[in-house]
Amino acid sequence: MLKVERRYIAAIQAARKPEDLHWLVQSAIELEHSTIPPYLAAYFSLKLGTNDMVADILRSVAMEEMLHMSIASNLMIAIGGSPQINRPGFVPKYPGPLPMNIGDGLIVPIGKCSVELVKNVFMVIEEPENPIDIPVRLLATAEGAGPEFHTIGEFYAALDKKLQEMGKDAFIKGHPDREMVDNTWFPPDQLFRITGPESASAAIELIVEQGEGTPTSPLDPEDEPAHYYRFQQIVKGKRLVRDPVTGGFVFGGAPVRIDERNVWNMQPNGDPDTLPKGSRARRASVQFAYAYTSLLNALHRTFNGRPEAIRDAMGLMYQLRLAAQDVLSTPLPDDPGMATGLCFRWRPTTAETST
Amino acid sequence: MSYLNLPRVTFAGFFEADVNTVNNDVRNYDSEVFEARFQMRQVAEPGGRTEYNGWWNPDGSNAFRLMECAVTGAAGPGGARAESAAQAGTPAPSLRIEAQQGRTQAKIVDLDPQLQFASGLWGMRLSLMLGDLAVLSATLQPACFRDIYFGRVIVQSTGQPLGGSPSASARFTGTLTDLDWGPDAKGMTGIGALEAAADGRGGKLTMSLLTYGYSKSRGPDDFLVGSVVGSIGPYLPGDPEMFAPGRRFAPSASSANLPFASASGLGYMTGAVSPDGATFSLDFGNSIPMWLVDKGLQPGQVPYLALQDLGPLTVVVLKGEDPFASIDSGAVAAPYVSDGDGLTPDQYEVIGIVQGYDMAWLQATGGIADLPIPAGAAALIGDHSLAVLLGSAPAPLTIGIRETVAGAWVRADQFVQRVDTAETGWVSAPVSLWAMRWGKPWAGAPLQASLSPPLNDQGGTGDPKEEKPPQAVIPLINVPPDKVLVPATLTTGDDGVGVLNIQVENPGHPRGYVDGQIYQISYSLALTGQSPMPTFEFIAMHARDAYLPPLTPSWTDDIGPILVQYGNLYPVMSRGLFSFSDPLAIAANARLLHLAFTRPIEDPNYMPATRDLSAGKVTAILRWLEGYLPEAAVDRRHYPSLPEGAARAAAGETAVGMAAPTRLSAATAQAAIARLGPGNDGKTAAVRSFLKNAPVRDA
Repeated sequence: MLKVERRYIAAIQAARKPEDLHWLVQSAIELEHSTIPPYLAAYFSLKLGTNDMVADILRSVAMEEMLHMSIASNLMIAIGGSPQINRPGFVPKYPGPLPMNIGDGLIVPIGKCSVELVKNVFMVIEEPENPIDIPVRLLATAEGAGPEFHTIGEFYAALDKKLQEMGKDAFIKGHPDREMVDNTWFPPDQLFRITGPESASAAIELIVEQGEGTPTSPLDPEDEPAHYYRFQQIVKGKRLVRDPVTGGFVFGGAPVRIDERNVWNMQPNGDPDTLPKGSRARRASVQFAYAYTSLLNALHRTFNGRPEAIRDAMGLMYQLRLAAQDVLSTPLPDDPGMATGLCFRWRPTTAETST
Repeated sequence: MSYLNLPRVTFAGFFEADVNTVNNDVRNYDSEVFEARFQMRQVAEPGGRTEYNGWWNPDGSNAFRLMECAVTGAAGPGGARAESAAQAGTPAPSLRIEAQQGRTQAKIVDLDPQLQFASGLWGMRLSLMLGDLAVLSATLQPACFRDIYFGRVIVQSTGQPLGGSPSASARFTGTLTDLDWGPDAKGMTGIGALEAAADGRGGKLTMSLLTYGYSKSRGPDDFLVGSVVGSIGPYLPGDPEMFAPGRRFAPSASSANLPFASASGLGYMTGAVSPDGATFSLDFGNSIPMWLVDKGLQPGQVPYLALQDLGPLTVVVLKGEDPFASIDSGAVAAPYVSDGDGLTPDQYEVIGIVQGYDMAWLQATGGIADLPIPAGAAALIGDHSLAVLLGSAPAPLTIGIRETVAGAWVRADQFVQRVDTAETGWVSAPVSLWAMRWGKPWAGAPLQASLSPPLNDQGGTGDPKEEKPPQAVIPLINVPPDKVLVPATLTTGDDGVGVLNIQVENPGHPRGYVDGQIYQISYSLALTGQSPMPTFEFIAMHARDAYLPPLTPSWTDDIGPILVQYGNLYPVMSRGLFSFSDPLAIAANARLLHLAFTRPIEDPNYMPATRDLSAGKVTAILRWLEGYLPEAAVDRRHYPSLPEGAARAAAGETAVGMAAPTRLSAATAQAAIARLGPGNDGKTAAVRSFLKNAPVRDA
């Protein structure tokens, strides 16, 4: 089970004014972002028009993480802070640990989609406090968190509790008008303006439940399997469905299999700086990292006074997808059996030497 | 004022133009006979035949990227030059150029498959970066290339022009807007002066991008890559936006290098005298011929580009005068001296000598020489023609290229027009024509304009040995002539500008399977004897068919035919995102498409990337997409406005024909075709077709 260092929760508990929470919410933004590159890389590694079910799972989880990152950023704005997104340190190093040292040393790589990656990394990232052992019929047997560790859910719960405690005072310096609530991409019951303790609580609850489900059900409030269980479908090879006899949940639906012939054999943890200078692979790889950096720039502007810049960010999301195809369809110069790897890195330049 | 004026900042590096080539062939627009192979690359068949299919880059996304660009030079308002990055500011910054830092990639698109001589850049925003901080960020307003110089690159081992687009260079000139200056800008040579130049003067700058060496710039792995040199200079309110006004140099004698360059290989150029009269800046950037050096290479070394050494380039004012009688005489008269003529020193005053020019110089200066004007030249420069002389004393110097006859020329500003026509009535498409004499506005200049004659075979491969050509027939362009009303004559006002009020009526599907019609409108001074204009110097108009969008469009009747055509032409969509032929996929991506179709046309996210869809058709698509969107996601504020027709503003008929300065003789056209070489990329095929067919209608 993923652990959050105790000091983060202690810091939330010790906070006396909203400013004390800013770095913690910034950490939450970074954490929500940090899962997007590995999920997107796995998604991009599926050739277009193949692996539909697996692709849907990966894409839908990645999109919800984008929603969570947006919610955490709105929360930051609501309590008077400014999300810092266009900074080199914002992007974790892959392979490496996630922000806040989540996962007790779990090393997260950028890799092609595989059962092993989903099982050993993605499901570990998304593991709830008490995973429900499916297909055992569900009972309300959830126990409280053990005293020796804390989960992401608890981190958010502590944050929620603190904001309720501070009450409206926490939101006095907020700028709700600067929040991004463009409902083109997410409905108003998921992406809404955070103006006070009540809406903050609803927003935090959405993040936790979409990620973990509830202690008694693998489904989130939208009746979708929570991330952990959604990923588990890939490992179990079948859709999660309700058992008509028992009323419980079973992995007994349509097959969910990775068609490996239609997965790009992507080099793990791609790095343009290791590719031959002047090569097409290097150029494509640099362009991908540059587009990803442009996306972070657009998001930074979105959450720092120009919410309409989300439109630029959306354009860049699709460019990233095209750029990924370009990278993946380019063989590695010294290993033509392998596709050039995707690089999610802060790279604000197309120059040969990154600054 | 323009990029020719000081202060000026120069940068250099590479560009990538990921052009789409399925749409290079107009026949691929015919969805009825479209074949799957048209989305595949061309195939060389035995016997030298080519099966073109989707030509050489069917997966192109139309992206245009600046890569690895850095500031290479900066000159202050007095011409103080810091020719290395280390001198460009204090303390010794190394400024990089980064584009699209928070937006999707810029696009490069043709006006139409049947008009590929004015490709435009859209949606570019760039920043001059000092470390992580932007010193200047600016948006380039849409800019189309001009003065394309085919055959500029000569293969050293053969002495023949390199074939196709790799042999060409061109300039994209436009304005920079939405300027953001960083805190460090003021202290930097050139950059601080640019800020001062823009402040309180409309807040704009100009930029010209010189592009050359497409796929010949970076060795064997340079597919889609070329070299770029950017020049950023001042702009004043009221200046033209898509060219530099000033002194125009043009070929003045017959030679094998026509219509692109003079006998010495120098292409069309422009210069400008500074407002204080102290400096003459002459743009050799798109003019001096190049070598592809392929001899004497070291093992492993790949051929590279170099400027040809023409020896000292002596820039002079001619003491004699072209016998310009009067406007009433209807003539400019012939040049009193022409390219190749030898001159003795008593026939000119020297402004300055440019020598030691090489690629490093080109990259540091943009090829623009800033010459202090000596007193002797200053006395004449206001009303005498200029010339670039070749050779070294004591032998008489010869004219390499000279200013237009009597210093007279005219140029259109917004020369590429996308016009939505109305169901009934006429719409206006005004174009400003700038007449100049010796660089100054020419009030009362007589101008003429006409519609080019019908032209066939535009937008195909032009290859008689084409294997398995598409079944579709290439439509005629410039017809029907009565749907476009072009005033035959006009006179410039006190500011030297005449507004050509072109009016357009619904062309009525003259091309059948491809929307609207292409009209080429030539213009010139209404005087005989003037210097030739570049071959592709005309107003290029896409008059789109009138289209009334249905209130409830259907896929089968309304939307499918539009989007299936796009899906055919842009395989990158179905291969990289989703299929445009599949209504379910379109509906599933309705949010994205609704966003893209409602962006301003200048936005890099605008759809379609080709910017060739009428407001009516865009509206129909948006209305159809609405059915797949939650109400909260439907924002109708940015729907395009539909055109409204009006009564014809003036009587009269459009003159059909080409003005003398743009007309080519059959011999010149043949020479130009030979100069294009064997290349068969889209641009080359288009130019070849144009040249091949143009003289026929001129006869």
